[in-house]
Amino acid sequence: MNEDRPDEKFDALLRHTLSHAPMPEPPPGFAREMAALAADEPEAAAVEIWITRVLVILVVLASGAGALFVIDSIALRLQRLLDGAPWPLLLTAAAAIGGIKLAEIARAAVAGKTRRA
Amino acid sequence: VSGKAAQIEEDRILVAGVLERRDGAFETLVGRHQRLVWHMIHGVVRHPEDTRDVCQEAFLRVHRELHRFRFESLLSTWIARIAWHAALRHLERKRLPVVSLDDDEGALAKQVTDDFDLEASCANTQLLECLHAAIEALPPLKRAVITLHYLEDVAIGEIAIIVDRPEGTVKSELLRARGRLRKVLINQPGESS
Repeated sequence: MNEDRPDEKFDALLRHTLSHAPMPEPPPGFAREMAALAADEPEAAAVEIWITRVLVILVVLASGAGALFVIDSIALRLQRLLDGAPWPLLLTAAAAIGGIKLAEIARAAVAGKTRRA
Repeated sequence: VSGKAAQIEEDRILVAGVLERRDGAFETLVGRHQRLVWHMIHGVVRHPEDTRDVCQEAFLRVHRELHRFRFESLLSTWIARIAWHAALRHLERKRLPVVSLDDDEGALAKQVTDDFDLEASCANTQLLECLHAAIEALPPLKRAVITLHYLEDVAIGEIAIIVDRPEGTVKSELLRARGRLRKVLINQPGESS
């Protein structure tokens, strides 16, 4: 039982030491300075968001323009690649996988509804 | 409990003021918590300029995230938690450790009894200086726990939330830190153990 007994006198000494020790304090006016910084922040954030949006639009436009030059050759290559593919087999497999996935989703949805009810 | 309820009510009014961008509300919030945040961050980062930068970072984050505060703890606890994580990120950037391995000090704290003269010890400036130096020399987590517990009177449960550790870990850190500080007292001439 004594193991958990707080060392009250030592605790008091620590409290005294800490409260009388020279502790660094925030400089005067720190709160006001923080309020000013925080007030400026939304404006800075708005500028950053605006710049980001412009950059994204530029990247999309540049990618689109670049794609125009290569799209014909890509289409030709794809056609050549896919001409010899066993399409009936691939489509059947895809339909089977899709059906299984749909059944799983439906089962999960029914189970969820039952649990909520 | 009523004191805590009153504090939460006061927090609600202050938070609402900041979220509604009422004049001076955020300044009041910073003014109320700056001492706690400054002491805690300084205890971890140990450098005046870095302390200032990390404090600014912490309060800016408080300002950005305040709409997410759900009053599940005291506002001071939530802010101190943000400050603690900002200080940790600073240590990570500087590649400094948060905890150190020392297992024998808790046992030492249990062995030593209260056989010393408190009044004489408080008047012994050399002892107080040595104790303060020993507190300064503690690793960041122990220093933060000791400062929050003894200087800011934060309860163990709240400290656990702030430093993101289980209560048991906080108690053990506190015990070990006390053990280490006990050594200073034992090694002082004229102090009995």
